[in-house]
Amino acid sequence: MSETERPLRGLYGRVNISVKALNGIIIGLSVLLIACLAFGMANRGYDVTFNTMGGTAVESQKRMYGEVLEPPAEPTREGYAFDGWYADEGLTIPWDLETDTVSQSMTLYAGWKAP
Amino acid sequence: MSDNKTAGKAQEFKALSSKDKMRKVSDLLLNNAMYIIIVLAVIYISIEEPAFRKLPSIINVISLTAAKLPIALGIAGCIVLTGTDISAGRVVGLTACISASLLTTVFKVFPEMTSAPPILVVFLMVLAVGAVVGFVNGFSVAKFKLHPFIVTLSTQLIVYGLILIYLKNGTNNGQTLSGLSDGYRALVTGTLFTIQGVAVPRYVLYAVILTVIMWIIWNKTTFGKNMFAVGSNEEAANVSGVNVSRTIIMVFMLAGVMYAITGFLDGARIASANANTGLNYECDAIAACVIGGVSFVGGIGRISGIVVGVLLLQIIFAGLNFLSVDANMLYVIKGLIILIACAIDMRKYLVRK
Repeated sequence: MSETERPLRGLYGRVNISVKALNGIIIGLSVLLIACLAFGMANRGYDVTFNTMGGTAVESQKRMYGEVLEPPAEPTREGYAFDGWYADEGLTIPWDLETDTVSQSMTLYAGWKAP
Repeated sequence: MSDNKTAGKAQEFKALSSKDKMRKVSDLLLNNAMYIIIVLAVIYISIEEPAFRKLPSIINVISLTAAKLPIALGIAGCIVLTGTDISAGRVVGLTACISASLLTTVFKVFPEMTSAPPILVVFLMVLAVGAVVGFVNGFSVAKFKLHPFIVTLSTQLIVYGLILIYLKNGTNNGQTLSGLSDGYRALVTGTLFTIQGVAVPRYVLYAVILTVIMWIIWNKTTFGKNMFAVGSNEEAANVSGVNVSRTIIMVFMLAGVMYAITGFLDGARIASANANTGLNYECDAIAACVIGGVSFVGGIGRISGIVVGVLLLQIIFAGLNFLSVDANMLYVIKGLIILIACAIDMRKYLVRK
């Protein structure tokens, strides 16, 4: 340790670390951060899954930011008629397949009504 | 003047031995490692997705920065006091819910109400709520010498409980609040001006005003000077006649008011509010402060740094969103950014002579 080093205070009050060790930590973590960024950029795409709420299963899709969904196969459920997809479980925000674009990974919920 | 300075610095640099030169350069690289990585990532993103460089995307980043700026400006004061405040996000949530429940067209929380109260009344009300939570935090830290982590952890939980109870009120039954009144939405998200057909929302102006006010408070008032004095050395500040308790309480109250403003703006910005509004906002705000050079050693920080910190975080995350990087990975990236920022923060303090 060189003489210019002084004890840390504040939230780091109990940290006892040398500049050399910190250099290693900064470089190591930076490499890790770059690796994570690279991994994230290499695995692009948002997963959109469909919860049919008791109907037949619908295949999930991988979509890029700003894209619209490929129209999914309409699910069926005995005793009910399909009423479109919703962005929330409470079925209050309808999802327009033609105009709504994907901006995150999400699940769409099927709405059903008694015929 | 500044040219002379740089020339002088360059000459100074030339005079150094090669070993010192190496150290200077590596110091520069290490202390700015975070900025370098973020800038490189943003350059890569804008090459990969040219739309990211276009005006709508730039306005989007500026708007997001403006939305997250008030909470960061508030929390920065707590960090200057060598503390922190993890109740911030929930206070944003509570104030957003209060604003959204009153300034609405469908009074589900208060079914007996028929018309919305004046916006100013609601605004002052949420400011008071924020200030009360801030007072509880500050009082406990100042008078009982409790660590801010513990105090704000408990207020975080208490406020979260209050949000849930509040949302159960009336006929709302814990649902998301929406159907906000036009006046409220227009006040916050109305168009400030348009650049080439892209609207800049009004809350950008409010963020600018708040930044100026905070800059004045931090740099030009006795309270601001006291805050830095208490942050760098509490005992010394006490000896030199600073009312330490009052300063701490005021810093936390000011922070609470800033969270309340964030909540008030956020309700209208998102056009709805629920129990998850404001979740994890404090993490982003703390990260932005540390990146912006508000040090955890206490007593160090600049308003300009906070603005840069918030802006950098929003740029990188808006960019990664553009690239469709999954949100799960973003959490890992955010955590690493905080760790690196802290390591750099410590390093800067240790090598400063």
